[in-house]
Amino acid sequence: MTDARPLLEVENLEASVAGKPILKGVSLSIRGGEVHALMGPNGSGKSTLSNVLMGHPDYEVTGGAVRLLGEDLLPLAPEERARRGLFLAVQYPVAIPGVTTVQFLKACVEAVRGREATKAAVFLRELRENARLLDLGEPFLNRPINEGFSGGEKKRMEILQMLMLKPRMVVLDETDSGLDIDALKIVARGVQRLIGPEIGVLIITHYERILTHLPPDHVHILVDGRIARSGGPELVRELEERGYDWVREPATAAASEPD
Amino acid sequence: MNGEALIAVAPPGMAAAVEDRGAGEPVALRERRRAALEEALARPPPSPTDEAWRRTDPRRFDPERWPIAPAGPLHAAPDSPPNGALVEPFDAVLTVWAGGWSLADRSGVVRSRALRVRPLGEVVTSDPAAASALWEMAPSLGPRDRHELWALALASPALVIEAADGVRLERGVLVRSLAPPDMLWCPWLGVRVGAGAALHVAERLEVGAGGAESAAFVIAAIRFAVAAEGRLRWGRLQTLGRGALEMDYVFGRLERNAQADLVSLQVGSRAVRSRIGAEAAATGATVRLGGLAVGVARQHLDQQTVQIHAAPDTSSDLLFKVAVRDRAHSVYRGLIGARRGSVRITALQRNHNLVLNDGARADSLPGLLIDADDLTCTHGATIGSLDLEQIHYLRSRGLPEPVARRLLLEGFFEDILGRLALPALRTAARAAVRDHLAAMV
Repeated sequence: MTDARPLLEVENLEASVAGKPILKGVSLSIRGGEVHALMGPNGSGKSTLSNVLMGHPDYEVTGGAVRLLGEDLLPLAPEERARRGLFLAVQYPVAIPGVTTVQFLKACVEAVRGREATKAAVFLRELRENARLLDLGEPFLNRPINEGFSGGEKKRMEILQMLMLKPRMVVLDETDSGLDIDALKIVARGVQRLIGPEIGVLIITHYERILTHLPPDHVHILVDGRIARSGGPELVRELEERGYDWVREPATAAASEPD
Repeated sequence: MNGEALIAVAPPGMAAAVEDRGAGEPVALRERRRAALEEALARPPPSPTDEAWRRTDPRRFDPERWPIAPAGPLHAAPDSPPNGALVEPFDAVLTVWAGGWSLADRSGVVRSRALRVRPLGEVVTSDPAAASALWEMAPSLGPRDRHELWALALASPALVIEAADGVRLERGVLVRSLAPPDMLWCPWLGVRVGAGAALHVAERLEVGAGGAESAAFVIAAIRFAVAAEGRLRWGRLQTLGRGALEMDYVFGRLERNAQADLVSLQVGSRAVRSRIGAEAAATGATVRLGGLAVGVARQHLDQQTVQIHAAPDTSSDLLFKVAVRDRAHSVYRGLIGARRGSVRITALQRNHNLVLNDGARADSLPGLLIDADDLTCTHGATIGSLDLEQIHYLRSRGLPEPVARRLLLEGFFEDILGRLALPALRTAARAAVRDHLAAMV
């Protein structure tokens, strides 16, 4: 059961980094209740897309539009995007020395969900419950965020943040990379906790295995800054069997065709 | 500048003030005051061509326009009690002001003689060697500078806190130092920790009246001696007003297996010149030094640290952090000195600086003076700005940029604040730093 109105609309999006065009016209539409997977070879622009969605200052949007629940997202600062319900689980979470997870999350939850959500008893109960779901013990909550964490712990911490912020639209940028089988299951469990008819999910990944835990409704293949192919879950199996060349060749040929 | 006198030779009326202070004191102490005055007068005036003053204009600390605070009662002890949350955990509260002091014995430790607080003059009479040891300590490897000599000559009140052998005063003593507005004040504090004793001392230096904008010129001398197996945890929070000048000379000596954990927090004042150091004088002594300084507007923060190792198997670990913005300027000089024979020592020195805009400046000058073999000695300094990737990460979680910056700054200082042993002081220090940082972002 999905909402008819798209949660996230990406329309012919073009973006560059340091003057180099990376996204060359990406279009996507994600509705509430849908899980989309975005796959593609290295350098195809997957992470650029996630960073552009979140408003990273290193990326310049040169064309197209992005709307979240119908609102133009591009003029908004990153914090305003987060407050409107966008969440990006980043590929490489940064450490914030000296700021504990509790302190950090309290500030973030207050900013996104309002002061009511940070009343001590309510907030801590919710935080502990979500942390337990992700096998993050109490000591993690009192440690500086991501400092000295393993790769898997950092990814779980991203999911903890996601659960606490209760976003409407989630982008997971290679959240599965570097995770062992058990950690992957834990991360998937966290995302499943959030998924519902109101929530849209975009999973950026190289691998099939996270998609076995979080089966996508739609799969897109990004090649050279464009969606080269979209389809159902069968596309994932096809990629596993045939690699990217069969997608890349027609896409490259299409790109070189005159308008 | 050709070495001409840039600042007054001595604070106006100094000779009379020295005599006035010494009038009721033992002759030995009076003579020491006079000797300090004579030595100060014999010193060449500080000049920007001196290495020690090259980055700090000595005219900032000119005593010319500051009348010396009288030694007699200038005003009574402040009417308002100190903040309850800050007082609550302490065994005793010592309030010090120009012309007097008072002691609140909150848990009976003074009555039981576990803790004593008395004028230096009494210690000179009863234990001249101990008094002499405290008085003669110097926070540098070179000669005392002129300002420190003034502080010795004009010391008032000059008090000594003493923890008896073997006692453990984990809740410790809060020292409230209340500077008189618009005057030059030179408080002197000695701390003696007996053999096997443990003592916490938390000092808060603020202007006694006049609020955040008030002016004062404080030159404080603090000396500590930690006997064998003793432990001192000392923290000092300076929140003088924006018109104030502060100079401090903090130095201590540690005997066999003694430990000292010292934290200096410089938040207030228009200009600060701080000297803090310790000597690990006997085998097994361990010193931890931490400091933070936050500078805004045109604040000038000049800090020098000294870690002296005079015995084998001693260790010191120093971490000083600074953040400056607007046109604030910080200068950090760190010196590790290893004397002959101080083998198998470990000495660490780290200084990290955040410069938050183009007009601000941080200088870092680490130094080593090693006269021993077989030791581990490291020093390092960084000067940088806030990490843009971290700022973006926090913003992507809903935090506006100013909040993100403030959180990063608070995090930057947290390992220093975490060194404060007493939760109440930690809370007060966090609040003071947070208030000051609010102006930075």
